[in-house]
Amino acid sequence: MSRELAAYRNLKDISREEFILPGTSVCGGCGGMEALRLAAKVLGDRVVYVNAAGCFTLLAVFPYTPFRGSWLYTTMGSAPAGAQGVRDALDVLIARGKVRPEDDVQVVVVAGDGATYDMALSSTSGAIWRNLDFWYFCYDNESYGNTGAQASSATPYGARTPTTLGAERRKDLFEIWRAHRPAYLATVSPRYPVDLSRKFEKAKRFKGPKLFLAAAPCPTGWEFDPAKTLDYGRLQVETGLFPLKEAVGDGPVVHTYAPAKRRPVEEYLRGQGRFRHLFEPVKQAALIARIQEDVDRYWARVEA
Amino acid sequence: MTVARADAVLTGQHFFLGDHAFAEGALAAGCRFFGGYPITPSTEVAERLARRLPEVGGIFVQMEDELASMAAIVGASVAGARAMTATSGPGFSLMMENLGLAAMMEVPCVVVNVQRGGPSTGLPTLVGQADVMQARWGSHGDYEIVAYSPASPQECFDLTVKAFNTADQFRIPVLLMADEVVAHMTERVTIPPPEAIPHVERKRPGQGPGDNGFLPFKADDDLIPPMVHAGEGYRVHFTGLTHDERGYPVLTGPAHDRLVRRLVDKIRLKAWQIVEYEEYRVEDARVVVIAYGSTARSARRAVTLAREQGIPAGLLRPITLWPFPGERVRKLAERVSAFVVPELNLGQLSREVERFTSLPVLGVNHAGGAMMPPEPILDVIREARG
Repeated sequence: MSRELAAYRNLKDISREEFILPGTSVCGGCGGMEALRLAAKVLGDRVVYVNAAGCFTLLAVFPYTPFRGSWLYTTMGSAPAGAQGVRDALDVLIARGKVRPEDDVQVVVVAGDGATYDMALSSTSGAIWRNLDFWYFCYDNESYGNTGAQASSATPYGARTPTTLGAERRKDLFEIWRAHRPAYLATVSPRYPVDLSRKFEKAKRFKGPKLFLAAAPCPTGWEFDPAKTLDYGRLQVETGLFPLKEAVGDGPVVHTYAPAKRRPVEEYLRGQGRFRHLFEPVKQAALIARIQEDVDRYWARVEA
Repeated sequence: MTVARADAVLTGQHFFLGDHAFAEGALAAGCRFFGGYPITPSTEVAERLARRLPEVGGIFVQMEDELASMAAIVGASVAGARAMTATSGPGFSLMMENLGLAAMMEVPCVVVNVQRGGPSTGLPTLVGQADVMQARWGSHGDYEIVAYSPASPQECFDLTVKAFNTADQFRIPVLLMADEVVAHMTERVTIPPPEAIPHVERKRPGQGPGDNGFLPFKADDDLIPPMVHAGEGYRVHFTGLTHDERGYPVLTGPAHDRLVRRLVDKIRLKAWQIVEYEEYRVEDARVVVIAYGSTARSARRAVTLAREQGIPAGLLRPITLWPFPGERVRKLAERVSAFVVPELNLGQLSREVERFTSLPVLGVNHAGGAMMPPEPILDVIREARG
């Protein structure tokens, strides 16, 4: 049994210690916050978070940061570049004996899908290409959540936003990242905490870019009851819309969880305000079918 | 998707948010392309145009960042459209390289900057007026810019129409330097009938395509070359490199001086024609307040209060921040005893005022975050009166 499987057999193995303290200013029911909370339990407190403008920037403005660990804000397009500077400076200080190796910290970029998929894509590409030893945590709430949920290139097909009537297909960021052959990359969901914890634990083995795309169901932007965040988190995976997977270096993509029987996407779409126009005033069966076909085609390739 | 055709010009009385008035002003001016990126407090401009532009046969594109937004409107304008983007401080900073490109290639376009507290992310949701000098000097190199400062939603509409006309007339990027208070203020906005909306055509070449003697960057006596558009059959070459009348790169000192001097002079020599300001009770004033945007509204109240106390105060409100109404300041300086310059920054336009007078110029400064109240302005008016 691999180390991470042994370390995280079930929920009971997840640390009860909190590294993101209560009283944050993100919305109630924020799925991204839950994913980051779980990730932080694996990463611990020897961390410098490097942030790009987005929802989680609010974590550091009201009135103190809830993180145990440090925080560096950068501009929206340049968090991975900021991480480069932090990592290199730490390496220099360690080499000169100014910082003891055991006092070293992990450099973790925390950015939303707006920065990650759009504005900071070239900065991320550069950091991976330079084989920077860093972590990247993208909370993917599929929109520019902090300014009112306008479309990003992570917004799924069919979703209405304040700037689009029905967005195009999402960019396949996992594959864009994977084309760079980073040391490790994975998708995670806050509704699958054991899977999430194992992946962060596994990534510790690797020196180089360790990239995570975290599903982040967003009650405010997607318009659903905040009490149902984990329900939508589960449906996102059980419908097959958000596959849980990982890849190491230039190795194959491994699906770490495949729903035995995928739920129809309609169950996931129904009830979210951003998809209401697919059901009211008349049901848009063709559009829903197209979303279902996309998912089916994806899994047919996986299962082939 | 079919969308019901709607009117581009919503003639009538409205109760509009400043940001929405920018959007409607653009549509009324014939803007049919918007490339933008969400950023508080300008997002409402984009959101309204995302809905309205497709209704009138235009295109709204959400770009991947502000570098792209600015580049997209330059592209749209080169192809012949009236084009606009809207942003706030951080995005405005990212637009600077392409703004300079637009100045160099003489591409008309309009940029709305709804100012918030800076530098950096600063106060995303709260007011500031600290991008005034960036508007003038933000891109590298020498160039002149035109920047309007609206003080009400009605002016957001009117000055947007004017900005497009100025941009096309002079072949320059034009800035609408609003502040968060004005952009998020809701007031009555009157939109005139379409035929009453002023419209200045872009200057177009007299020669047809295929004429070998045609020089796309040869200026007329007004120093402005007629503009050809991509796809019209002319041989044109737009470049950010120093270029000659053919539009081709000529990388020499003399060619550079000739080009940059023309780019600057086409505005400087016409500044008197572009400059706009509004005055309130300056006729017999001894102390003149110079204020713009939301601060001008407080300044007006301060002047009224000063008058009630027997102090002869007046208000000069620059409507164009750039070119600055410096000649008017020089003229007023002949008969007033001091100037008071309140602004939501730590002293920017006051520097410009000082260039035109040796009289005391007293700042009333706050770094931003809330509208300037009349009282501190009144206090300094009293102080100036001595």
